[in-house]
Amino acid sequence: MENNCNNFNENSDAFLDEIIDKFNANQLTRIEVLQEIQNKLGYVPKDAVIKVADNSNVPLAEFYGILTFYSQFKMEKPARFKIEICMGTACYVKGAQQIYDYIRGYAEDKNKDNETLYTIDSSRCLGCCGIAPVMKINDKIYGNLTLDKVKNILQEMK
Amino acid sequence: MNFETLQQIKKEQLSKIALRFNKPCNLYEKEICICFDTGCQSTNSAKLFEEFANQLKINNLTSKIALSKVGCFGFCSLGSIVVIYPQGYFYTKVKAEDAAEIVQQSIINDSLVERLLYTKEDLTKAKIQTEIDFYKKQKHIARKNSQFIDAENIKDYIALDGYMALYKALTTYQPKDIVDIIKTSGLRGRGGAGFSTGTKWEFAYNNESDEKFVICNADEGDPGAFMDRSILEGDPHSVLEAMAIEGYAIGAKKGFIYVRAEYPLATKRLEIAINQAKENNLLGDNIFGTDFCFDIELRLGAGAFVCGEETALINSVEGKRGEPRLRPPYPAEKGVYGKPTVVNNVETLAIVAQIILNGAEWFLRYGTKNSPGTKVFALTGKIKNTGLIETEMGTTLRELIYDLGGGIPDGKKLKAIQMGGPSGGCLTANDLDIKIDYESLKEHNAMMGSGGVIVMDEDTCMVDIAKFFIEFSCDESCGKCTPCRIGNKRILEILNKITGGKATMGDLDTLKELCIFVKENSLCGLGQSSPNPILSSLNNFYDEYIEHIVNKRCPAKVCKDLVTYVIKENCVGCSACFRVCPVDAISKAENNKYVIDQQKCIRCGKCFATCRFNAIARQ
Repeated sequence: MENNCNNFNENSDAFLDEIIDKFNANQLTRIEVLQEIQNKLGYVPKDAVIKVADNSNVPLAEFYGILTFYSQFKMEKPARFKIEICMGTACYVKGAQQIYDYIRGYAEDKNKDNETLYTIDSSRCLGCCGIAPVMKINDKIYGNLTLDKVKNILQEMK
Repeated sequence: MNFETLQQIKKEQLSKIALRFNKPCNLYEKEICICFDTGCQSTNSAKLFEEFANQLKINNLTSKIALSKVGCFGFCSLGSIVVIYPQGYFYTKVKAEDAAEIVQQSIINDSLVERLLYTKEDLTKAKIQTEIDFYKKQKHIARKNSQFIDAENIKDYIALDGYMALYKALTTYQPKDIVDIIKTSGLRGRGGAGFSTGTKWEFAYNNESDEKFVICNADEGDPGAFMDRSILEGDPHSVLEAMAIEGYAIGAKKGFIYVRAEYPLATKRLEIAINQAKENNLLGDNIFGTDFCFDIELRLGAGAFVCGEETALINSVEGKRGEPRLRPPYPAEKGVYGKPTVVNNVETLAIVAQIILNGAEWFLRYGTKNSPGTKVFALTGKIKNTGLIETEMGTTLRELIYDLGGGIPDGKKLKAIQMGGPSGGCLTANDLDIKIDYESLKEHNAMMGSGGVIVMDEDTCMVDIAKFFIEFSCDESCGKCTPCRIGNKRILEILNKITGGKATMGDLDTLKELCIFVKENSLCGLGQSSPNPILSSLNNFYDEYIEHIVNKRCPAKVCKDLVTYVIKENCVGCSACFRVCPVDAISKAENNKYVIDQQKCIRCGKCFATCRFNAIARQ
């Protein structure tokens, strides 16, 4: 369940030059540029966007506008466990709020003594309403959650 | 690819998968099919698949028994689902540990594993799918293939007449004929508004331009709806084929599929499908040897609900912020890069190929006069059978909720049925005999939306749900126009006052006024419909609002600020509540029982959840 996020280093990351070349050749849209960076690093570091803006015709503000408009983009490095709790209607009706509150509390406790181990997000809908309530940890979906089940899942995550 | 090759592939593949249709098969004696939809995968169907493979190997059956991945069966609450063909034994909630027993009983022998069969209402077991009530009244058009094919194998799709419609369209019809057929069929957009698909195509057909575009809207943002995900994951080629047909009809050479970021599996399957279609020249240049060229590109969303609105989606396809544009000009006139563009929803497209194959008359036989065909509903919430249901239009809500959905679990009462997500409204038990089609729902202040049906029981507070939806709309408002950006925020503040017990009756009038204002003055569909959940709950559950405002009571005991916790006489003094209270509001009284200090209590409900003696009352 390890997250794929490396540290960004302007000098060693040739991938960014490739992205910039593709972007300048009109092979990528602005959103796709940011998506490629995020896929590679797990987030979109400020320095990376500045570099793209400096080396293309698009001003930084445009990129920043897109970054902040779409909820998928993260500008902070994510923690080892990225937990997304679905707060779609089906999950909400089946008690997702309680699960969200519990995980929040749990993560806050754990994050205190062990730097940032968890990032908690709520999702608009993961599209698994048939097995609500649902959460996603890194890329795995857990369904039909109960508080007890959540406790077990969190404990097994090391 | 030419017609002969297509026929050849169809014939060969049909002989391989014949068991799925209870036809004789020369290659295999039996076949094990496992659902590989996101829902079933979360119950670890991948591990289950491995275990079956392993068991077949141990028993030396690999050459005689086929093991296959298929798409969604729709009955998501029963995952993982495994079906054994040719008998069609329908096993539910199967875990990896069960594989050995199934192989032993149903593959090597011809008996059943009773405990994994679905238990019907009368407590007997259902051996096969069609014995289950959930499937009895269904009619599959958009979901016809999903449960029978492996989405990652184009041959499976071809075996079930895949790409025949495209061949027929290119070789027997003129573009205008296709537009006419779709128009005659009465097909209406399944994404929400229900606009005539054929008319939309006609607009784009009539607009002269050197370049035109086709877009598939797979940004299924409506929480509680997941039929599009299931179609994309189970039958992606049906969407590709329809887009090519549409491209031929309106004169476009390029299509985009805009998929939301939350659907990684659907994206992966689409990528595979597009590649396979290109390899077989079913997409690309000179398809079936004709002059027609068509290419499809994927565009991934980045998490914005408003991008489901077609003009916002078009901005996003171009790589910009997903802010809606003013209409007119409509996309059929000026869409992507200023060129005529048609945006269609996934489910709409999944129907197109079959209309071309079977004719408009065939489609008109199903459903109602103004809403022909079928609709896929995602039945979720407080309902016994959750999952995807495809029925003819005109089915009543009662049939949907009780006959197919199995009713409300735990003996609770039905309170409301929410349709159309954050843009829709709620219906009540009095509306159960409404026939579901676009017009009837509108008459009752609800809407079809994308087909999400969320059932709520007496434990749901309607004011809280209204607040939930408006929070959603506030969050997802793009901020371009003021009524939506600020109006929704003010609406939320009033609802917070109501659920916090601080509102007066005057607030209710302001609320109504504000809702109507936002509805009438917002730029796009999001703002124009965001107050709907509130207006409809005000209409149907006015008393509940009054209870909150006048009596400061939440009848469903959901709104935190209006609920109090009291320890009753039967407290045994075990101290469990005392230990979990995060704010030390619980203390021991002289009679060894515990009491809650209402001043300190933050109403978190932890004591209530902890007490094993039912000694804490929530009022």
